[in-house]
Amino acid sequence: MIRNRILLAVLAAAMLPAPAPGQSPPRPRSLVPAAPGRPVEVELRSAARAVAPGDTIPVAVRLLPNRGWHTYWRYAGDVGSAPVVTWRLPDGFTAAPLRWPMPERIEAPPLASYGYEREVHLLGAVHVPSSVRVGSTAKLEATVSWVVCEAECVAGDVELALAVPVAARTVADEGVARAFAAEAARVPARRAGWTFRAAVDSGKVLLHAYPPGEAAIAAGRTPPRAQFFIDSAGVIDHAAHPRVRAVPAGLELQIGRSAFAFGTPSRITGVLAIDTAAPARGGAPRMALEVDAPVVAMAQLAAAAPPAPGAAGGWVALAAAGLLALLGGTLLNLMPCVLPVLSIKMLGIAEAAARDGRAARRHVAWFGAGVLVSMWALVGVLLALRAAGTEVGWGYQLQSPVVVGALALVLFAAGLNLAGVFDLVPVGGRLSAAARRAPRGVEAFLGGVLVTALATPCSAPFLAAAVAYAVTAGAAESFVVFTALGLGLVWPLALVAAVPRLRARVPKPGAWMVTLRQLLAFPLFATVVWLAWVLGRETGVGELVALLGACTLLAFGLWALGRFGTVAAPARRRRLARALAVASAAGALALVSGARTRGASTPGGVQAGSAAPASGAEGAPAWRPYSAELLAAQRDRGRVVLLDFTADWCLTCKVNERVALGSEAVRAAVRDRDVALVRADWTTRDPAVTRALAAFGRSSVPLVVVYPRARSAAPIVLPTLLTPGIVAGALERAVAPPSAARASAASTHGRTRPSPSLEATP
Amino acid sequence: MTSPPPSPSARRSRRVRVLAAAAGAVLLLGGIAARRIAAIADPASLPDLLSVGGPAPAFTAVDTHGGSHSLAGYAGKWVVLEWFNHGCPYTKKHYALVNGTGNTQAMQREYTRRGVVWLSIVSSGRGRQGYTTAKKADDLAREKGAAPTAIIRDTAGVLGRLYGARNTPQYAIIDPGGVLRYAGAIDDRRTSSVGDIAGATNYVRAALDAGLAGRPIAVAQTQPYGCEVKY
Repeated sequence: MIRNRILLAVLAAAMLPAPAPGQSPPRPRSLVPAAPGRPVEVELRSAARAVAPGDTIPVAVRLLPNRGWHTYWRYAGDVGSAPVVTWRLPDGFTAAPLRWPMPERIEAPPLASYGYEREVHLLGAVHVPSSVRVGSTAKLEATVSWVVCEAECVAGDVELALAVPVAARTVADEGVARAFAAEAARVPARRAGWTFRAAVDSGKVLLHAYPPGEAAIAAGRTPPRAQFFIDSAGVIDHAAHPRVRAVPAGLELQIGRSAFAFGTPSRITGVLAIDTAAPARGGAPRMALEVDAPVVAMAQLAAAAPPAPGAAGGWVALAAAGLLALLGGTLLNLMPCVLPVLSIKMLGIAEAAARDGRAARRHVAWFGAGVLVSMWALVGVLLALRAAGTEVGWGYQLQSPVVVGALALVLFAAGLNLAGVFDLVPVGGRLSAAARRAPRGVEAFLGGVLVTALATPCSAPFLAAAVAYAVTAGAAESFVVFTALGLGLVWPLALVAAVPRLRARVPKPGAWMVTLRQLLAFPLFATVVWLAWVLGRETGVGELVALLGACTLLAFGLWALGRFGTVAAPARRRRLARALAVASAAGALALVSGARTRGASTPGGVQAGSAAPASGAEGAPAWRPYSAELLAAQRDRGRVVLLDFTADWCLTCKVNERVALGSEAVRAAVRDRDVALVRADWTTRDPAVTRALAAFGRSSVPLVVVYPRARSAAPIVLPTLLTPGIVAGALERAVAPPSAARASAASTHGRTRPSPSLEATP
Repeated sequence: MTSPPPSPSARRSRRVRVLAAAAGAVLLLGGIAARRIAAIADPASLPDLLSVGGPAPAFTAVDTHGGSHSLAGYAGKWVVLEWFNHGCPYTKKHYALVNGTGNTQAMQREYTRRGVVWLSIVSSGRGRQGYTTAKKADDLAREKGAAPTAIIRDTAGVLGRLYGARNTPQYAIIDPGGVLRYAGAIDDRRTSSVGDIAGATNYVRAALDAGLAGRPIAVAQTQPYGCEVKY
């Protein structure tokens, strides 16, 4: 029967005006040749002579312009427009989107366009449903609207049709398949590992491309040749040739801004072509990449990928980052996360001041050493993790439940120490001679370590840019920035210790100090509660209980130490008490070290409850967990999006959420302006969130961003510390049309957009 | 250890100087950092390169009937400059007759009725595509039912270059005070298909409607599309 059908088809084909000889499955009207007024040949081609049900037919629209004429890419640039293929397919058939080969630049100064002077195949695919009967014919029809230009432009439509027999097995047309494969090699790829970022100002567009392995393109002093084919209008001057230079992490293209630029785009997409080697033997191999670059502020782009150190700009960027770190470190002293430990420092100063200037200075020196050494340790770990390819950021260590648990135990022990349950000094029998001479020094040093450990989860004003720089810069730069950060954390204390007049302001010691010391244990216990909550959120009730058990065990050991480990006690009993303390500490650590991030080992029911924290009472708008797709979908629907990067271990974030985001003013603004609420939770390691943060040049939380309604407008990045007024103001600006922030009340675009109800959160 | 201690007053004044220097340094650093932060905090505040919003270049041009049109003479009126080329597919798209009228013709009728001056300009050079005699230009306009205030043959390309006309179609809109208020494309569908007119956002209509109603123009500048102007 199949044979009969083919025979019929062949007969039918024979009666049509001669198709190319030797082609067995005839293709009626699959080709429209060039003619007067139509300087292009258009053909619909299939790489399958026959197709099996459920299989896919590789198809292409072939365009061959007459000499001197050209067709266009998916975005045409200054002149012309892309061909449009409209499929008409039988029921159940589906067509994949076209894949466009690399275009050429077609220059007619001051204009430039992207297109093809050559014969081009726009590659597609048609999926055949499995319900199609073997022996039938798949009839594919398409309207191709084409535009070809030389100096002049001509446009038109052609109707094309292609019949592919449905057979038991798919039979490839080798010749056509080869032509498709050759073209497919010219289609730019979306390569894994590459990241792109862009920045825009009034005169230029900067595009940064970072390859996965730094050596891939940055090798050699001379930057490679590169071209960028943007695929949207009004951003770059299409005719401008990019200025290419190597930056440490990759490549930078500087392109002139479009004379018709209006507003700032939030993303820049297109194709980047890089000549991967010097054109030694004729044509250089070309690499073509699909680009999707978030647009960040110029300063962020500069901070994230500094020019090579040694160049003036490098030192300037480094110095700026260092200064920011110093300032940020200073302010960090006042952030909610460090405040509990501030009590330790106050006490330290009071005790030191009670003695003399030398003791006070020594105390601060030890404290500073503790801060700096732990900062450096942090840099080391950060660099090691980065070298291993892990996506990390500021505060990353608290993404590990084991670290959170251990920190909670240390703080708990410190609290017990302050409360007077035990004392470190008498234990120093086995410590080195130096330590025995300065036991307070050890305490101050540990205090510094603790302050660092607790400070890292928070971001402070000025800190975000500096840390972002440090996280992406080289090892030496990271070291400098983190050192500056540590110094910023320490210097206010150093000032108090160093200036006698300030020291004199600290009250004289007395019995009140014992009271204060014991009182200050409670902020530490409160911090332990917070860390326990973080651990619970990261893991589950089981791990939380394990932590409480560990605390009890530790408390027992330390109590034994305080009760029996004093110097007055007999040596045997003292040894026993010390052993008991060490054993209980080890046991406590062992208890929390088993903690794993939820999902890895705890299949418990805690999961669903906290996956999407339903925020607040009924009527309160719900936050939805971040995904790039959700964000894009909400923006496509013309909604303003409020994106909150947060983590449970970030106290500043929690304060922001309570004071600003959760305030009635913001909630009202969210309701009135139909704002989509999206929350990117960084409590546990999440590469998607890390990448989204990186898009803003950040590697720390908190970060709150408002995406304006107009897609062309850049996202509004809010300051680190929020007030209801700041958030509401940003939301107000976000609904205004891009041109008229001043006259937002009256725009020509619909302000009366219906308020779609929030979808139910799963 | 051996040097004599400085007098208390000298020590105090030195300390004051050190503190003042430290405070100054902190303020300076704070200022520098604040500037950086300001740039980071609000990318939307970056200035845009706008030729719109400034005074429109003055011109005097002669139409196909020999009449003279000067921008100064139209003070107090909204003026539309429309670049077109009758041979260009994108001009054809916006002049194509659908149910008896075309997109551009309808706009010309509506806005000239509302007091807007509409000048259709051909900047094609002699012998280039789109170049016509004055009579041919009028005949083509009549054939298509075009209804501009006047058609101007800018054969030397002076007017086109003055306004940076690159494409056909391309528009410039000037307000009664002589300020350029819109420059760019007719709409947001950068194709040659007539079917794309319905459903497109017509920037020219939006700008004129807003301007005539005394409202701000939301989109004041767009990248034009179409054929290149054949200077």
